[in-house]
Amino acid sequence: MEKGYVSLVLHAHLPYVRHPEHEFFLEEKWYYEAVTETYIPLIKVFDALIREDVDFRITMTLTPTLVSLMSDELIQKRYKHYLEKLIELSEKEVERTRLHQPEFHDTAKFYRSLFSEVYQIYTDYCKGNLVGVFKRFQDSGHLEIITSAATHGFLPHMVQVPEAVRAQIKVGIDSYIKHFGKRPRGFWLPECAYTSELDEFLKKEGISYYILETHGVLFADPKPKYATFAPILSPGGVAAFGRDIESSKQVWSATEGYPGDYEYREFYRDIGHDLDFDYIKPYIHPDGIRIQTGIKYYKITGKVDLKDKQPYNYKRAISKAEKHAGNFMFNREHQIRYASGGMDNPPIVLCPYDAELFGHWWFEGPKWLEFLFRKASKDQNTFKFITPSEYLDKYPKIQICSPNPSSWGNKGYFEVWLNKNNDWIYRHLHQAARKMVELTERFKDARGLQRDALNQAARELLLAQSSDWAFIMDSGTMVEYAVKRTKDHIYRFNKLYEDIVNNKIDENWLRNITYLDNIFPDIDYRVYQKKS
Amino acid sequence: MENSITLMVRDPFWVFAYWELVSETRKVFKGIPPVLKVKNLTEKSYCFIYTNEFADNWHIEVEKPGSTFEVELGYIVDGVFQTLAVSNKVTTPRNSVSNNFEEYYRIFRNDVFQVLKFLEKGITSPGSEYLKSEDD
Repeated sequence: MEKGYVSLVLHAHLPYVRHPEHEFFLEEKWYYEAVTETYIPLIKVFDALIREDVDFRITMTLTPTLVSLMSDELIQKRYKHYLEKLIELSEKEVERTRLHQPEFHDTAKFYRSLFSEVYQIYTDYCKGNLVGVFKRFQDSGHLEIITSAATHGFLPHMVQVPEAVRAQIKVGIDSYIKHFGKRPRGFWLPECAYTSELDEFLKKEGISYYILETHGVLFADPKPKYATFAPILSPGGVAAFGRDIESSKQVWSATEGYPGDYEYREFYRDIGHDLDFDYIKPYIHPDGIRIQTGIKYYKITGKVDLKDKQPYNYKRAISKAEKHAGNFMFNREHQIRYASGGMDNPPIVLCPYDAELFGHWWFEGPKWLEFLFRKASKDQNTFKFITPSEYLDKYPKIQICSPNPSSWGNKGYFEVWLNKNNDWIYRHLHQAARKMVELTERFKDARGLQRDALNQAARELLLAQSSDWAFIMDSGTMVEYAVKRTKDHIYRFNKLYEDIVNNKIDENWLRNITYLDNIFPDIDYRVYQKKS
Repeated sequence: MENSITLMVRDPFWVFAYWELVSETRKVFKGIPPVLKVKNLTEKSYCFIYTNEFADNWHIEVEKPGSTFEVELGYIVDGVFQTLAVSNKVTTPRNSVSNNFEEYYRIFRNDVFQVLKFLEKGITSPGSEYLKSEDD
């Protein structure tokens, strides 16, 4: 009989980076890389485990923006083209390394077969429909998919206009129901950002639980008796699971954690930067800007300059991943044996990670996950994997505590999304949200073109609210893009507002921005009706 | 458009305010810096912050975790504070473990709650809002 549980939660998210107006768009590549390096490798792992009857449970957020990208025909078509180019490059690399860099030849052959396999999984196994494949894993009981706010809006910075919070939550849930055919039980608070005002809306939508940063639970009031080893119940009636610190660090930290191991693949050394310009030109930015291609031949090596990195060896890296999986399992066994001592219910160790860490940043991550599930199912019986909702169903007696406002961002509160680099956006976001509520009040039963304009105004507002823009403004890279996205959506919203109020809707322009910002095709602007 | 001020939470020690002053107000008070009256509603105390004439936002160090704040925007003329707008209220997060050890439990049944009054340590608070909600 198990003494406790481990719950792995992978948060898969990308902002809506679809740009039909350009043949090539750098930020769309974020999505293509994540599919190639994370989502398809995870699908491969889940499929292998199910076929071999390995007992496993995992929880994933698929955010509404990510699901929208996955389901978009243009993005699907472009992704195939992206992969075809990548396979073409990997074939050239096999030839080039045979003649000129034999030390990389095996790795070049590995990439060729890897990308061909990804292509085959994408086209044959998934038939281009990644959402459908994840849904199958959910329907078979191995994967619990949870949703998030419509565009990953930073909800605590939205509470000044409660209708805006409600719309982010409701549109996110409606999108989930449309794609997965039932209501979600869990809700990923964007950036794990919590404040008590959110509970009312989540509860009303039937959400059972969310996940908080460790001190969101540890600093709850009254003090939670079992720290993060048990969920707490907010006075608003939603269960909160806290992130386990120990297991987080082991995986998350680039310096102390597994992903920093010297045998693992070096992320920053890519042939897009290294190889002769004329050779690599067809595979980088059309303007000749060198960017990553996804083919990387070096390992982390140690604390050395990028130029001093040593050749990567996939087999050695994978054997490290297996050891690290064993180590993770061993530590969880100890932790759970220790924690279960003084508890009424078996403890739960909840480990949330960005899904893109697995594969994209930590190339060997999906293999690590596979090793972990395999080992845990046969080499130990101290713990079992569980999803948060299974835990709630099994152990429904929960301590009532008010969670502490918090986030998983730097310093643990809301500063990353509110500081000198991004504070200017909130004036505009709040004003637009108030105007949207006003529009909904004034035009309760709009029809035809007016309704289309109102629905588009709702889309523009939601897109402007993505937490990603404030985050990028703070991070200091790609800032221009984040500023432009914020300004574009706010501009489009404000023009729509004026056009609607003055009854002068510019139909051609409206059709054009509806084509550009086509997220949530079924949205109903009345989701912004004034809160009673 | 009217004069307004909005307050946001940054962390246990800082809040952020931004405001709009209509041009007539700006004209009337030309050359005078807007003043923020920062009120700690938990401690029932307040202080004034002189901004500058052209400011329309301010990061305010309140240094008080777990406290509720409200800010009034105005001008000080002849030593008297004139309020032009009042913000929403915000509460800063706690930054430490609570020293309240009361234990109340509920049976979580996916939307349907059956309340358990849990008196393991013999602590009870008949007036507690948690317990009141069971009568709903």
